[in-house]
Amino acid sequence: MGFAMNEQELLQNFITELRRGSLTLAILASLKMPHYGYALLEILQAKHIDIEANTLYPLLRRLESQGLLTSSWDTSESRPRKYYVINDYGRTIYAALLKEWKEIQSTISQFEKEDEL
Amino acid sequence: MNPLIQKYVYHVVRYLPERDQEDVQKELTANIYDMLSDNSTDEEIKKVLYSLGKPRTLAENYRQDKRYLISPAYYGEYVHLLKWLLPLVAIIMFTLLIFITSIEMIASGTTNIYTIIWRSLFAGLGTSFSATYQTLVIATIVFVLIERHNIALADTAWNLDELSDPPVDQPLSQKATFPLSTTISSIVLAILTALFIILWALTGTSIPISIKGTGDSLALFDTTFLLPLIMVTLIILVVHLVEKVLKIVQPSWTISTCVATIINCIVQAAGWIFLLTRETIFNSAFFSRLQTIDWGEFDFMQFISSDNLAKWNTAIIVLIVLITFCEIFYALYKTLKK
Repeated sequence: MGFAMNEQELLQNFITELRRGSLTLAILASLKMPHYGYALLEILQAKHIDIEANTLYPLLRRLESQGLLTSSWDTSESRPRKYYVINDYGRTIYAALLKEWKEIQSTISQFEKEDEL
Repeated sequence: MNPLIQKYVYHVVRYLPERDQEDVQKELTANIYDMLSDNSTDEEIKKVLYSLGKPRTLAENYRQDKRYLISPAYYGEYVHLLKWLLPLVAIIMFTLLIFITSIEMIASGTTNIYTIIWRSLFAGLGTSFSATYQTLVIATIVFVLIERHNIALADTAWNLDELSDPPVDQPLSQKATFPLSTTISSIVLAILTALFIILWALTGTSIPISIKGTGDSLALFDTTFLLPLIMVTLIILVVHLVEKVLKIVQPSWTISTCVATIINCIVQAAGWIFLLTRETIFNSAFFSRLQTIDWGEFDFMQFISSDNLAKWNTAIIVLIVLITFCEIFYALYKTLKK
């Protein structure tokens, strides 16, 4: 029983690590159109990306401070909302990250095909 | 704004740098309201706030700046530097100050050799401690600056030829059970402690304890206690040194190091118990003099002056025996485990 729990925890840790690595990629991919924090959270969760509000909101600010995103306040409605959108620098980084991600995916797929042979 | 939300947001932004506070407050409040329905109840608000987690943890996620002084990338280099720099500074300053103080005292006409040794030793210890502490602070500040400016220490070039060969006849599992630095520190500390006790004993009458506010001075120990104190200190020191030298030669738990450790523990315990069971330890005049002084709120001094210390001997002896048993058990456990 103890071993089974450890195995579960270990697997969960690996999954968390794996997802964390692709989180930035998913956020950049989702922000080709401007979105505010909660709307983006719903979009990501609808696509089964395991992210919590307390991770996403600070991450958006960090990506903005790193120059990948641009933000603007929309005060035209009753609730003011901060919208984020990917900028040119963000698109460059996103393209490079996506290329790297595809290469990793391709390498892993090759390993999988070799196993099947 | 809802008071619950206001309170939560306040407790997040209060941990943030001033420049970020206003913006995060505005954005987080907007995000929280987005997560709620139009006419949300307090229960619903609480549910959303709890889902965001502890305010301090969320604040940590929001922080853009680094919250550590030295990151893992530099920590190894930092510890490596301190390991040789601090002992080096301590030894140099200790030796230098002993030398300078002795010369100064001789030049000023002091002839009592014990006084010269005693004061030089204290000057050496004091300055050595102070210099080591300052070196630690300066080294830490330097590394914090390196960290903040991302200076690539970790990428410094290295040469395979400079690496030492691994020990041939020693398995990795037996390596550095007793690190050399710890053993040497223990030897230095033991010698200094023994030197301190012996000098105190030898100069027991000429270097007395000054009593606060009275201007007079008296020796702490009874003269009959001095010879046993010196002898026991020397025996403990010699056995301790033998054990440590053996641990330098064999830096892991073996039968020899285990036996040496047990003998050292027993000798130390026996020595201290022998001293504590002497009929007269302290100078009775010292306590008589203390009792004539009104210590006011200095309870500890009042306790000492009441000459009740002897009653604690049994408790101290029991403690010594217990610690000795623990040390012996630990040595046996570590050796048998191998």
